[in-house]
Amino acid sequence: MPARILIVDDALLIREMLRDILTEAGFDVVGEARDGIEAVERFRELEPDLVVLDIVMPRRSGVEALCDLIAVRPNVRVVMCSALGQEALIQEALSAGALSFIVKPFSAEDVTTAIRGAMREKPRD
Amino acid sequence: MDLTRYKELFIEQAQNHLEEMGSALVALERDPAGEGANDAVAVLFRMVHSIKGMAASLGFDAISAFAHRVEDWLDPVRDGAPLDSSKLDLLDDAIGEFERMLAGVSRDGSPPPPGDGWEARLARQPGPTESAEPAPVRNVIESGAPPIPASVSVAAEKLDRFLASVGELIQHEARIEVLHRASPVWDGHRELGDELERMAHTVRELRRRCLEVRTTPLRGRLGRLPRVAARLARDLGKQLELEISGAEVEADRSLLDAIEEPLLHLLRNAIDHGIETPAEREAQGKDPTGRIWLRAARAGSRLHLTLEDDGRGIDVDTIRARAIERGLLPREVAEDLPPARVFDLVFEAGLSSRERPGAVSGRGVGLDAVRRAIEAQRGTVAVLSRAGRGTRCEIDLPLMVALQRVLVLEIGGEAVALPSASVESVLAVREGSLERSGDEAFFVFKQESTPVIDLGPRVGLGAPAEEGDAALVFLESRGLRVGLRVDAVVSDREVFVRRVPAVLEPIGLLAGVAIPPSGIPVFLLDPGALIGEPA
Repeated sequence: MPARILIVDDALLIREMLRDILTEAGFDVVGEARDGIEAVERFRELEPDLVVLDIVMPRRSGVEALCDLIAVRPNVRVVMCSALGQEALIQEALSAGALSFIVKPFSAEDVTTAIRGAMREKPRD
Repeated sequence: MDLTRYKELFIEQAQNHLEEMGSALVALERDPAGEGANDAVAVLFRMVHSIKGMAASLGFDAISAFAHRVEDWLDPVRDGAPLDSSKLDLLDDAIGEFERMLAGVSRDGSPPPPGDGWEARLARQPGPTESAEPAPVRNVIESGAPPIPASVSVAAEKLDRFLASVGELIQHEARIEVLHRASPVWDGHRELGDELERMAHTVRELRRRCLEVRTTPLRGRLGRLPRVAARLARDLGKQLELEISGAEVEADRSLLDAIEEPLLHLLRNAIDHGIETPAEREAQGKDPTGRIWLRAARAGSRLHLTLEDDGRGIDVDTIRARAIERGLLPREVAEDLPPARVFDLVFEAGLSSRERPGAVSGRGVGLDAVRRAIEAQRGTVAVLSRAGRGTRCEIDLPLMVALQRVLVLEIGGEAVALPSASVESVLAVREGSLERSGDEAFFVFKQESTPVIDLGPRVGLGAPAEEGDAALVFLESRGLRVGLRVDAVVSDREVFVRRVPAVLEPIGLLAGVAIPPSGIPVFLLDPGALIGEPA
């Protein structure tokens, strides 16, 4: 069964690109969310295997949403997605429990490598 | 990956982001240190950041690098550095720069580099400690995104030709359907019918797509106005609230292009000459904050735009005196002119109601250009004002959309058409049911005695049949209603409408030439011209 993925990004363009790349690579994109609050709602409802999470978003940022997701399911697999200039926040997210990250601009390979890598990681307890 | 689709998505989203940035700037102009200021700065940052991410993902490096610089520049502001007016100006200019680069993407498939001077402007942002350290510049890595295919932008003229062909296809399709229905049944008739139905479906789809291409919501074109207004008000030391409604109304792109500048001009005028300074307003017992309303509405096939301010208004007698002084009108004519006509004079070249034309826009100067631009779109502009109370400018434009629903009418064996949207009602009447009073005829419609015009003579199509049954077509526009007497109503259908040929433009009654499936052109009458004063 292909991994079920939730895409969270406030930019429709990025969501579309990610969806296309992931679908092409054989993943099952089960849903999208536009901000940190929607992310948690969709996560509870869809129970995806992995979440691709943007960092700069309205209402609740990616790092805040990451903490919320971990609170819902401690072994959640999250790959952060960010444009340049957010290195400090990526670091913060990785120490908070994100498994990997993608930097925009990303190629299809960047995305699939990061996600396959994250799927191989042993879930934390 | 579908890069064309990505590109379109990018442009659309980036434009939305720029609009949000514009609104945030307006909020900051109004209250740079207030409670909402932090939120507005956060929006600015997030939008720039999002544009950066999107642009980088598509390989639009000029945009992502510029966004990156703006983002860096914003850093100290996010940390609490005060935003003064020069910084707000810089952000306003940056939005303009983004818009320019987006236009480049849309036109050429790739953005032009940022204009000169940005390097220096973006480097000079002092930090929260007011240190003059230049913002750190990070390197932007080579983009890994695939190259964008050759541009898909199309010259406006080619698009028009394309749309004209689609219009003709629609006519042919409708005509074939008519012929098919009238033709004798033969082997294969049914198959042909099925195929025709499928074709009709596709043609309808094509029609819908065409209209999408042609029209665009006003929002995109009005986006600049709040920022321009806020900046100008600030420069002139005025407090201003601009309210825009009806931004979702869709209209022909070319029309919106043509009226963007005139609107901007009228807005500048209202701020510069209409709205008083806070002190002046308070002295008159007004709210120190001036208000301007811009309302857009679609009424049938017309677009109404109203720009209203609650400023000092225009003094009728001052204009009258000025018109006499400038030799625009002889004294005796000017003195008898009703106020509405006097206000019309502000659109005459060479009339200024102020001693000293403002630095921004001398009243009168350029208003003639505004009127010319609107009239070039077959529109009208009128000003109403009350001294001390404010000024209202009303613009009325025909929405020249290629496909229109029209009512085809028959008069003395000839056919003319009216846009269906402007027709309120159609009634069959006997000649005797009209009340006549001298040359004028009336009909009681909806409990109101409504003037009836014999359409034939009005449009030069011969005298009406004195006797016999007729149809009354009621038009309603801006509270005025008129009945048109015609011989018969032939059909109500969607047709392709062409512009009035230049040679016929002086007639002034025509809104276009409708081409029904019969292929024989029918003149489309301009309801506004029929309702207004007889030419």
